[in-house]
Amino acid sequence: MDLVQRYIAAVQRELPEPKRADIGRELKANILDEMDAQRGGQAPLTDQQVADVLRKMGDPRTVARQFSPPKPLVALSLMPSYVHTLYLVLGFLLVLHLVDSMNGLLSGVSIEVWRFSIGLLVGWIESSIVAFTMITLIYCAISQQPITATEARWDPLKLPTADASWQHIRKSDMVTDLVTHTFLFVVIMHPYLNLILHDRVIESVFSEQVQPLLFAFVPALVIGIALTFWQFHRRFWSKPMLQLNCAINVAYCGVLVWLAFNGPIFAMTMSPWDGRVSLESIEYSIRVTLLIIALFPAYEVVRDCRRLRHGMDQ
Amino acid sequence: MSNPQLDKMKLELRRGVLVLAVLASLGTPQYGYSLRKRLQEAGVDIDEGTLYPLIRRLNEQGLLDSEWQQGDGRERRYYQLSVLGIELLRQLTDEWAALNNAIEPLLLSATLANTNEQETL
Repeated sequence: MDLVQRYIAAVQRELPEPKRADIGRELKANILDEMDAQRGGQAPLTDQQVADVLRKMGDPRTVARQFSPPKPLVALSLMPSYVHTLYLVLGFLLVLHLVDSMNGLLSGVSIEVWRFSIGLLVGWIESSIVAFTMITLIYCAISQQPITATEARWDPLKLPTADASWQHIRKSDMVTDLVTHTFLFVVIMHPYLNLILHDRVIESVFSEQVQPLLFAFVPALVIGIALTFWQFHRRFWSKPMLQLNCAINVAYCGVLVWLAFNGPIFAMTMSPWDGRVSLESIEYSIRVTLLIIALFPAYEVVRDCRRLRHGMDQ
Repeated sequence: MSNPQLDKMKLELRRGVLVLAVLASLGTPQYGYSLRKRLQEAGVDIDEGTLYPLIRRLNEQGLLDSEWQQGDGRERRYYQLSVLGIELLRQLTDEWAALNNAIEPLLLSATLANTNEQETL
């Protein structure tokens, strides 16, 4: 009998409090019936025989799950929307922290990249934990409601065209684009942002020679940010979207190549590693790096042009 | 086909059918063990860990009525079809008959096709 009590207690431990007593009572009645059948009017069962009966009943955790199946926090039907929202919000938070950290970095007297990276990472993780909890709680609350409205709303006539697989825009690509555009926007505009946000005048990190071109590039970055939000809304490439992306990448490529051949880029008067690395060698490394980076938008321009030429149906 | 695959598909196939078998066996009051014996005698083998929670879930869905009764010196919970359960069983029985009528010719033609193929080989 002790084994039976222990078994019932093990099942009850896995059950929600309000159901424990009732299920325990019923389980006990069922086990005693099974034991009676096993005994067949003979002497009481040995511990080994009782254990055999309990083994046939099943693992206490499995039995508890059968009696009271666990409910997922977020309903399966809401999972795609839940994941999309997480991507969007966490990506947006990354951008916000990037803006904040960049501003701190560019306003500081000394450029400490490790402090910038740690600050960005810690700040983003902290906000992400709060955002993750909030989003999960909201979806948890929505999951409690019967979901019939969205299923009833869908219309076959409003479905997007059956496009090639590349036309589906990956969330990671959208977040990467958004972060890149915003990062460059903040780097270029940080003297003005500081003036607006902190009423403080600071010098740009870029040399006077390249500043006019960089300011001319800002509208392309703003359009790029707007394009990313459009992508978040549509989720697949359309012809105008592809043309716009192509134009932005041409601008990127042009600016990067121009910067590579028209230095100096940064307003540096001395090398941070004075005595070991010269200013000229740093400028040379930056030029080579810019040319290598320019290859990426150049590749995207060629790729997008090919896609446009083949009529978006490959 | 490997055994785990077969076991999984058998489990899926049996899941819905078991509900029908349980509902069909509860026209008269039964307690857990007596129902299991009854199903076993009819050729439907169902383990304890599956049957007892299943009856309870059907009860919670309002398809069964239940009552605790004393018998043989101890208490037992007896289950019987509720009004809603009777109606649902009738609909499910119709559905089962229609499904069975549709699937049986398909299975028969599949068996014949397999036999012919084996004879050709």
